[in-house]
Amino acid sequence: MQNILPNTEKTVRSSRSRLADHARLAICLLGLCALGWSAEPLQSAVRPAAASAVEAELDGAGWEARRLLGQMLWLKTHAVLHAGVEEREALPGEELSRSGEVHRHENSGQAAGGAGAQSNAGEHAGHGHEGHDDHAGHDQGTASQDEHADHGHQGAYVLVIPPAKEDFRGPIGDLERNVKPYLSRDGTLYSKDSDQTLAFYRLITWLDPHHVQAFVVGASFMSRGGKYADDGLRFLHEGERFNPDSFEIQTELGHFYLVYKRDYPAAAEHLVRALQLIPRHRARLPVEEDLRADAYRWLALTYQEWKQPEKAVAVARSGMMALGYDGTLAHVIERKGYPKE
Amino acid sequence: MNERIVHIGVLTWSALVETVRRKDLYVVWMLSIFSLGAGAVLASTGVRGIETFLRDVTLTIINFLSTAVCIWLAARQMPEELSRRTLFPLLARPVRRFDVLLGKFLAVWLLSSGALLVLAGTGWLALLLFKAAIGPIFWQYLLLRALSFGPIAAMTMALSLVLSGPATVVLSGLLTLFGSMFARTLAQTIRGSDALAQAPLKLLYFVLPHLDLFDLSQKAAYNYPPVDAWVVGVLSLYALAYVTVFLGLGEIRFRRMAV
Repeated sequence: MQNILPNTEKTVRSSRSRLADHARLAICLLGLCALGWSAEPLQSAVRPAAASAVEAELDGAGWEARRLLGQMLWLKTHAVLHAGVEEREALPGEELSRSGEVHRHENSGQAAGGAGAQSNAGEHAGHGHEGHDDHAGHDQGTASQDEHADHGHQGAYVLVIPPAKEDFRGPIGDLERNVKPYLSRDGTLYSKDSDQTLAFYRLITWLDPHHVQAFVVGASFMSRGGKYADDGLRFLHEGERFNPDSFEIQTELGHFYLVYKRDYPAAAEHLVRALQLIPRHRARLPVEEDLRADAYRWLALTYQEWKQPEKAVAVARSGMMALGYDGTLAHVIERKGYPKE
Repeated sequence: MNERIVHIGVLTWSALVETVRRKDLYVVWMLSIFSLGAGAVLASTGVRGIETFLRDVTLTIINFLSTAVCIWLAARQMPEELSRRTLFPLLARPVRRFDVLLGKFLAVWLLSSGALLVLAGTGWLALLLFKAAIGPIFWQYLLLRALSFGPIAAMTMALSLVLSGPATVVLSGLLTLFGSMFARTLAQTIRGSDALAQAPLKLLYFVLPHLDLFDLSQKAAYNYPPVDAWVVGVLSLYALAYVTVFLGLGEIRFRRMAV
């Protein structure tokens, strides 16, 4: 009995202390709720509401993760295009010292003969794509070489791994040149399989439907120089659905309708919309500047092919005002908006 | 000499048996099955034309997991013997301390290479199923990967005699995974610095083990042709040199320990 009594006291005490614990926990939870409730007005200051429906849709950790994955795949796509060889922008003087490996990311100048109305290679503006513009067979740009100086990406690129003559590392450098993707034995870059990138664009846009560049560049690769223009157009229209305010996608749609479909009204509609959507109240990225220039060029060429010379000249003039001197637009003005015979 | 070889062999075997008994490597089988499952799900989605990507991801996973297994196994060999006091009866026998280290090192190297073979076998099978098989460079990739476990295991075991277990794992992991990034940054710094600063930086650069030289995964992912035989030969010597250095350093520390 004596043994039982202290135990009973203990049990009573422990149940009381448990009750007190629960009460404390409840008070803490209520306090947290109260804090959260009172902090709500702070939310607008700490985390401003999304400016648009698109931004609101993109909000949240899930989207951040998808965007991050999409961006990683975008970088991976770049590596795939270069057969895994790492490269960087050339430093001053390296164009001479590394002349064997230096290369540019610009249009190849390959005229897409018969690619729509603009079969004359001297007229079409180049259509460089940041990071993906070095594929001769897959760029629809029909710019002549003389026009590259106006709008091609002129930066020279060299490989990250230095050549033996510039490498202080001796045998370690030799080993690295052998075990990492590098120039082939004859000193040329390994050939690239750009078809391997097609699924990447699909995956990137699936992960992040607002990755405009992936839609634009992906459509360009998918169409394979106009051979599968419908695939490219379908991809671009999908991009348009998710990004109705993207001038880049509108420009590319105009380009596709003009060059591959010869559907001038559709091309003009998209290109006019592209010019309306160009961001004017912030600094534009280099890739946006390129596409802005393209929008003017394609629209001028569309009107020219559509036999609307006055409109072609008007667009070319406003383009020259916006861009400065431009070879393609100057040609349009020179011919008074009439197509080349 | 023969007696020493027998000692080392027995120590290696006992370390192997002990690790297998502890079922550490079950993690590798589980991860392999998980990877195969994940690959099958990806294949069932019908994504085509990403053979390079699949190869790249597979080899990256193999690299990461096999290195983690190697570091984990190497980091626990000596500290466990010390904490369980099983080292005392071992050292009471006529066995050299270096032989104990070498026996443990060989066991770790063999187990890590075995784990690599399991992981790589699973990966190879999966890639074959997805029609993304890797060419003959795959075998060179495996060989160099196995060679890289030499310096990694020796370095980790040497560190485990100085640091605590978790600290050894973290430091070895950082040195292994970020060593190449550090070496590249160092090389760029050397190229941009003056002659006076170059000397110590170059010394540091050449002293550091360049474990990324054992990684052929990028070339394998893009199906490059195999590398020349001399490259594999030189890298074998390079690995052996670092194994000798790290085990030597480990032995110096082990001899000074009051065990």
